[in-house]
Amino acid sequence: MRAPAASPPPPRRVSLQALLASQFGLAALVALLVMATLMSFWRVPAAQAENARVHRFVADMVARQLDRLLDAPRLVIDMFAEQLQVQDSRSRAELNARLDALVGQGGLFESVQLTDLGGRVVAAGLPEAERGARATVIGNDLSRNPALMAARQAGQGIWSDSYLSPTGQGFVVALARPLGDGFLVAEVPVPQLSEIAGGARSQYEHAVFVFDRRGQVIADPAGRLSAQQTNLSQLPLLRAALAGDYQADFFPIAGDEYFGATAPVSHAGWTVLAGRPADAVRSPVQMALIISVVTFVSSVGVGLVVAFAISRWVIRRIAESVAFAGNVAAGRYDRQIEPTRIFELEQLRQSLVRMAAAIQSREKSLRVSEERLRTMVETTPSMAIQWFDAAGTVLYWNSASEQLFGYAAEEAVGRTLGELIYTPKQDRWFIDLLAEIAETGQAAGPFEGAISDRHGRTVWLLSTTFALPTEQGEPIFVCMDIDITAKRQAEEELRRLNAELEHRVEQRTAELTRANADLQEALASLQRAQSELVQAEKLAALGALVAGVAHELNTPIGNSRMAVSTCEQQLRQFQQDSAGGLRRSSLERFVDAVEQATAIALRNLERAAELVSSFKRVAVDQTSSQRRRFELRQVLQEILLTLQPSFRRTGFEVSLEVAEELNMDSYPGPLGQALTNLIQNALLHGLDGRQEGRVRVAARRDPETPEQVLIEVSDDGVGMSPAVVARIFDPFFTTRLGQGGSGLGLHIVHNIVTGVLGGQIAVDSREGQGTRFLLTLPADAPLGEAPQDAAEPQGGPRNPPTASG
Amino acid sequence: MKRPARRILVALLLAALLGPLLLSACEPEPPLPVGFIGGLTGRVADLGVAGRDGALLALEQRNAAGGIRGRQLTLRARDDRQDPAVAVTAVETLAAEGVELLVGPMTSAMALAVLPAAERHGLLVLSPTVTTDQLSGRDDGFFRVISPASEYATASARYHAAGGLRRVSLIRDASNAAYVDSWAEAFAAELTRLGGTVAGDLRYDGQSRPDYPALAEQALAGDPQAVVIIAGAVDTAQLAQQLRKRPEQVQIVASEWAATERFVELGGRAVEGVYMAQFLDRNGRQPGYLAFRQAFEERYGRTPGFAELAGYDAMNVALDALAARRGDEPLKQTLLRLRRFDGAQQTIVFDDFGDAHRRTYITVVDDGSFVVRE
Repeated sequence: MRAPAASPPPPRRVSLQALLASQFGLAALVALLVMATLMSFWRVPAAQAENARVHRFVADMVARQLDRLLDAPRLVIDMFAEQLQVQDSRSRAELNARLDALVGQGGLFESVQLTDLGGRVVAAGLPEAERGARATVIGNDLSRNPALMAARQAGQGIWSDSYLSPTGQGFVVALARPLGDGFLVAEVPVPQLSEIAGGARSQYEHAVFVFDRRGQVIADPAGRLSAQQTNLSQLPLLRAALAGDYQADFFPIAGDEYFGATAPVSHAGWTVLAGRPADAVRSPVQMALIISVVTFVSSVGVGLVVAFAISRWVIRRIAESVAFAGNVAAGRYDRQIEPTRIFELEQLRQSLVRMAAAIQSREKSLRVSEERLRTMVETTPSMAIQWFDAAGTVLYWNSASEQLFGYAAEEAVGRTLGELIYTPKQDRWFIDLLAEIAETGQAAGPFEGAISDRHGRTVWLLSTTFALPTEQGEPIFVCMDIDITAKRQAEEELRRLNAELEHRVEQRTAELTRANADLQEALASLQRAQSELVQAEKLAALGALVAGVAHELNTPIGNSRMAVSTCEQQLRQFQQDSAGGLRRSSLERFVDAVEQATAIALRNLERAAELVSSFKRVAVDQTSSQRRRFELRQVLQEILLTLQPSFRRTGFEVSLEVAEELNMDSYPGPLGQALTNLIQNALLHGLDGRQEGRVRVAARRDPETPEQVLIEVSDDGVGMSPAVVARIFDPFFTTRLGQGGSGLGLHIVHNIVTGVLGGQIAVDSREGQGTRFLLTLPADAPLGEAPQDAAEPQGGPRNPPTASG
Repeated sequence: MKRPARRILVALLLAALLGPLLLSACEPEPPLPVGFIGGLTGRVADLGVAGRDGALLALEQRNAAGGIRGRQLTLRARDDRQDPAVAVTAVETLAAEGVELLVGPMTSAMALAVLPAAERHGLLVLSPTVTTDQLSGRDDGFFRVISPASEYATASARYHAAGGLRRVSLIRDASNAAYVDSWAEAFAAELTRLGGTVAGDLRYDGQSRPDYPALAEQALAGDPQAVVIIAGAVDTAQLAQQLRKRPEQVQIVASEWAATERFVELGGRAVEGVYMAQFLDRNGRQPGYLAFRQAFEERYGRTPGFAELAGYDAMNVALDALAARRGDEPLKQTLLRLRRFDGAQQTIVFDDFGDAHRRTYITVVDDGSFVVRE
């Protein structure tokens, strides 16, 4: 068998033996990891915790026993103290004898000394051998004795820390207590404590150490550390215990490592440390570890040897099966294979034998079915099937092909399609197609295409071409064609009908576009009408302005006129008087009168001039929409002035509240128009039909954004329903339809505020509770917004303002 | 096909066998032993325990700072029981354990006893508190961090003579003859030079329990202005107790040997007004001393005295020498090469014979504590 030219390199082969050995190694490694993990995270900590628990228990027990052992002498001392106080025997000799008896009792105390309040020894109990030296002790000063000082401070019986005793001439601890007019100090040599502690621990195998409050050893198994006043407070375990935290841990003492726990000796205030050599504590864990490792190593060894042997045997059997399979492949069906006792291998053997038989019978049936297939291909009536080699030479040509193309099989086989039915271009395309199919292995098509048959008739084909592998390696190419000429003609007809339909749709679209243009024009004329209405509004505002001007000017000009006419009267009087000769008195009266009249006239004319210039500014502002810097209060005052005629003779009051100086760089004209509309809206709608009411105009700096100014126009009128509030800024919306309301006032306000002024407007109103408009304006109006006419209506209030300048 | 299988097999067997061995391969270096010897039990234990606690603190501090060239240190403390035979055995045991450097002993008698054994084994002896003049000016393996006894005795005699003291009785503990004799002779010589007299001179054996009342009575027999006690803290306190019970009420002067922190505990009001010379300035404000005092109180729960400071200084000198040692240089050579060492209260400077000098302070017990007078 030839290997394919571009097949991938074969994967690395692994022998069964190596596979089994590595699998076994992996399993052993996992087992080792599991074992190590369990040991270090479960078994060892658990053993440690168990050890800690046991040691704490032992330490507690020892501490309690020590408590009991120390209680006995304490009771003896307390009983003695009570007796002494009851009997009050003050004879020195008797007192000494009784103290001697305390020393004798149990042999715990080495000496018992009774002092006065100042600490001077007044009586002493000593061991028998030293009683002769009692005089040495009596009269000594114990005022700085640590036990006595501790008892003095505590005010009660107390066990002291260890100290150097002058009496005992060695280290002692003492039980000291106040007694009557003094103190009793009973000293116990430190070595004695080691014996007591030894007695307390005898039930356990533990080494017991006892520490005083400073961490000095006062009892230990050998008695050496306590005798030498060793201080072990550097051990973390003991340091924690001295701070009240009793734990268990490893610790070193005198070069040996121990594991132990601490517990308090509550009566004495000391600490017990019970421990065992660290090796004794660790050895069970270490033993378990060693057993595990030995078991592991031996099982790995045996397992490896056995696996090796079995795999060799299995490989031999498999090799036999391989040889048998090779024979079958070569067509030698007569070879045998030996039976075996291994169930799976026996199954493999039987399967191989069965497989050989099956292959034999299948080869036979394959030949039969191939024959059947060939017959079917040859006789199929509607599908033309041809076989080609890679060069496009016809190898096979069925009878349907003969009918479709007009060539008999004998004529076609051995020639190419280019020599039969294809144009040279089609032939080249077909050869390329075959090469592509050989390369990709994919079927090509189905394609539709037209050819001319032997008689020059155009035939439409739907054809599929694919490759079939052959035993020789070179594939053969199969081309299957169906005649679709009839279907093709039907499609052409359908396409023609479609084109006609599209043309009709185009016509209708053009008609619709025209109708749309007409509608646009109608809308534009509607907007023009709206704009004219706005102009009319503005003219009405100017009319009101003129009325205001006329009214305001009326007073000063009337006053001036009166003054001048009075002056004229005086002049006439003076002329009459001077006709009969000029008198000094009449001249003086005339001059006074003229002076007075001139002053009045001048003052009123100045007032009139002021008014005119202010009106002029308003008028200029309103008509020109100029941008300029202004002070808001002044502009607001001027606007209110022009509005005065609207409310002067009504019961309405318009107030202005501006707390601070607010400088703006904006469009005072549009601003004035907006405010005028708002105030008139309040007067006409909010306060309609009422005798009196208030309109309040207030301005202040926005406390949150200082570059913004807030202007509020509010009234205490009838208010509006939510439905009205929702549409208040829509154009032509009015509640006074037919009563003179154009429905554009607030729409204009909205456009001015959101447009040229670059701000926002909000309304807050409820029926019966008045209306409040809030304008939020930037102190510097946005640039590029200078409009021809700020009040130009713009479709609707929700549309963004457009820059039209 | 067979080769890789066999290789895997061998590798697995090797791993199983050698794994445990590799795991237990790294053991830390054992700590370096430093010896200590002193009286840790019995009547003079206050001095020995104090010296050992001071030395141990210095060693623990050095360990906490990383040891010497990364190696930790351990203290091998031995009790000499104020018995020469025990002391010599202790030194020999320490030498056998590989100790090269010995801090101690605390008393002069023990120093004289152990020195031959120490020199035989090549041990360097660095004593915190041994002051006998018998070891002054000798080129030997003995170093000390304080002045010889004669300096303290002379300073003491000069101070009291200036205060008008002329007639004294001496009581000395013969069990530490090396020290007490140096001290007594220097004191007597200086007092005599300044016109005073020694009216009585008593010796007792400190090993067996002394008869304190009898000693007190004998000391007062010569009608002295003052009794000078040259003994350990227990004996000095007991003698003071007995002297205070007498009607004579003489002045009491004691040697620096008794000036441990236990002295006041032992003597109570009986030792009020006792004068003693010593080298520790309890009011010292040196940063090194304050740090030492704070560390000591934290470690032991009590205030350090002169013996604790001496033990601390001696151990620090020893450890500095070990750290500065060049190769196999003898430690004595290292000490003489360096000469100057930082003590907690003052710089320690060794002369050619390994002796140092310290300032002397005359103190008196006042209301339970040592107050510096000069």
